[in-house]
Amino acid sequence: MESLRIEAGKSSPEIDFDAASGVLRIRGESFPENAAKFYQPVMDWASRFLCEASGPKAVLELAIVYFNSSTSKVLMNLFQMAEKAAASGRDVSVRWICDAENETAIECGEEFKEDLSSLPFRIVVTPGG
Amino acid sequence: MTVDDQHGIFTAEDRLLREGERLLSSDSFASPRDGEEYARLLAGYRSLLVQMKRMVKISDRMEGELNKASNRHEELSNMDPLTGLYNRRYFDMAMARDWKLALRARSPVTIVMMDIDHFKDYNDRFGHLEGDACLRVIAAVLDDELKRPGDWAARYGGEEFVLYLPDTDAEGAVRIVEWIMKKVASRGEGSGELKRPVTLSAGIASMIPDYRVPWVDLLKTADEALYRAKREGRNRVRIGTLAGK
Repeated sequence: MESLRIEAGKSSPEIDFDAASGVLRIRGESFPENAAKFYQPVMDWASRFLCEASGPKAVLELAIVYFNSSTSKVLMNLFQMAEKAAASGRDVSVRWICDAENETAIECGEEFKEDLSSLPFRIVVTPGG
Repeated sequence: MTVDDQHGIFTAEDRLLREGERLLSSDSFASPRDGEEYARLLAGYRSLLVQMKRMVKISDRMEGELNKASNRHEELSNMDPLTGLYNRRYFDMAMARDWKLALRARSPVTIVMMDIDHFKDYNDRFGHLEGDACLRVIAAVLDDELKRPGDWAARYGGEEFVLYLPDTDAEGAVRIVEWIMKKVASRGEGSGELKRPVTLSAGIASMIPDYRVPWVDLLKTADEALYRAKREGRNRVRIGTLAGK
């Protein structure tokens, strides 16, 4: 499978989905004017990648400093997708990366984590500064 | 899988859910398959509702963060970074605002323009960092002494400060200004904060606001009085008279 790379925009995060390593990275701020449109290829890619039962170990690595409401819905869809994959035996996990000073991002990570039972969801707090 | 719903903004959704559960347990479906299908739809609704509640919570949190940042920016945009007093931008905005309030209240308003005496010489002798420290000392005194509600001070420009004193006539303002001058003088005595004693000159303008007079006229009058204080030897306060009054 080919990797997916989208450069960060003014209101959209950097997307770096690497099929070989299985690291699906979203980094930056996310408040695109049309979240559905921006995330369509991202969700399609993730869906195909996570559907392969025999695919490599997958890690969703998210370092999103700020996101709008529609992005939070997209993220929930993404987590639900990964949750289903995990429930059916796929090795997939989430690393929610946030700065120690960004309490809001940490709390949001905890909220997202709350609804997931099969999907390992780790909140990784990096030293602020 | 529940999300606190302290504000009860999802009561209609929760009621639908309860009704659905009641219907499901009443076992009134035409066939077992209908019942199963219904149970599946209801479970879907339940989990989407949980998701929705969570989204609202997350969005509120993000929004709160944005509001905090925006308030902080607004605060900073009104502040003089060197002294922590209000800046010129705030002065223009607050003058227009408070002038209107005073017009309505028909209560006297006083503006004081203040200037540090021989500040250029102070800077030249001790360097600009000491000059900055001096500005901060004056700002701290102003901040300490203007404690009545509605009073405020701003840094108008280089070494000039402006005070806005509502419900205050010229005599009252003179007392306040003289007190500030005394405080500034005491800061120069062996405290180490100032390299040498510093004095202030001040011009006062006072009036009961009138629709025919723009507040700029009051400022101009205070400024002229300040120049008079300078001309007449500095370290003093002068009261200006509004033209046509």
